[in-house]
Amino acid sequence: MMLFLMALGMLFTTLVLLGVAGFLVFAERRVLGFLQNRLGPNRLGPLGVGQALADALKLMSKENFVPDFADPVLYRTAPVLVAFSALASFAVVPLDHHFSWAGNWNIGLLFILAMSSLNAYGVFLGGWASGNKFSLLGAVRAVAQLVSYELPMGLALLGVVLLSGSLSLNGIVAAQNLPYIVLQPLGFVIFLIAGVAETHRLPFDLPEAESELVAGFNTEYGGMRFGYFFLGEYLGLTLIAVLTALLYLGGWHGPWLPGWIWLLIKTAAVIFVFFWLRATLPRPRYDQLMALGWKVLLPLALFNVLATALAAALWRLA
Amino acid sequence: MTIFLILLLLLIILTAGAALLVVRDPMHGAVNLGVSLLALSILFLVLGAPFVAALEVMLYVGAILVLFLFAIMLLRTPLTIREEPRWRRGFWWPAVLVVLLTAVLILLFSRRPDLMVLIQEIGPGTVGRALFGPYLWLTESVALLLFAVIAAVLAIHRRDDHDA
Repeated sequence: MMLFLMALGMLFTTLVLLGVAGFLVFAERRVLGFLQNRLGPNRLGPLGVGQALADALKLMSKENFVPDFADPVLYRTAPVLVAFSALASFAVVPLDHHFSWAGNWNIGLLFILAMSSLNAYGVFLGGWASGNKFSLLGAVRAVAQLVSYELPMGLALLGVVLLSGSLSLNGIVAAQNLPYIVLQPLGFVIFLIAGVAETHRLPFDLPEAESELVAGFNTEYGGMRFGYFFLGEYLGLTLIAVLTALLYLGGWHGPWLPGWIWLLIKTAAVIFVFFWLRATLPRPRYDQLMALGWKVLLPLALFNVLATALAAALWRLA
Repeated sequence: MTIFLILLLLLIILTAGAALLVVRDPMHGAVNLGVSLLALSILFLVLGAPFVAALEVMLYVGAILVLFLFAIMLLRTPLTIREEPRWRRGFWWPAVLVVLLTAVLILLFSRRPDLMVLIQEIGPGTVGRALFGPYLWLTESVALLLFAVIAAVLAIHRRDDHDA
């Protein structure tokens, strides 16, 4: 009975997350539309909300084929891996102090980083298995980018871990009497930039840069397999936004409203920033992206860790 | 229950490791290695070391294997010579090895059922205190080694710059 309820709960969580991801696709098109002085999709349903459903139906009804020149096993596995790793990360994300699957797990943050490395594999294998040079170039770019930005991201997170003394997301939020964006402004900026790069969102979407690589690593994908990549991307975006809210913006702490509503508001705000960045910034060149990661963000993140450790030590002495 | 899980994981680790030796496409080999490492990390988790398990995925799967992938892609063989007989003669040696190892492990575990009871979880805090307490000198010497490697990489890189 217990197991059955758990399975039901997991199914429900997954469906909600998929719904959120599907809705975000629509929300992004709409927000982008307004930011670019046009309307965006507004015909289906009130304000065009039905567009998300229509897109999902379109993807599901398309043919699922494997190109002749692709590596069949890896080609089928890769999109599932992307969606799975993004979904699994949410297991350690708490909505409220008592409302999560494994929010108290003592390696929660590490688990998310580990899942994000698996996510890189999905992207990479997808690009490689497609047997197309544009896909391969996209995959090479994706792996180099993800590896380069995982380092500054991990180091930025180290500042938060140092301050809170916990690796579980529940513990980190509980330790924030003051949102860590005040104590870790540099870490926050580094985490956000690395987060954009990790989810390969614009302006750092070089793995799938349309103007150079057709569609990058997912050029050869269609139908629901492409849908998995799409879901993975938007789930990743949601994950980074929730993490930003939990780690730096005080999580569910806030006056008057219930905690989970505060968390949703903060998450939505961060997601809006992501859309905003997309509408505002041009795509950099690939060497500029690499230089930013290794020569700017990494030293800054190291400095941040050092400064945080020193400040924490001095604080303890005083 | 735990022992079956552990045995299953061991079987996966060994089979994937053996498969790495026989598949002809290097990329498939890398994927097999990844499976083996993932199973190893789950084994750590089952044995009560979540911190090591997470690091296993982050560092070995997420960083070291990626380097292999890079090398494989830069030396990529054409995608067309993929069809090969799965059961080639070379497969038998690793297979025998896997069976033998599994038998040994079964014996090892069945003789000592108390092993299962002793499992207790070691959290990241304990690991950290151990690393920066009794093992501080070891940790620092590894750090020194890594620093030397970074210095070497920088030196090589700089020489390339001069040539160009």
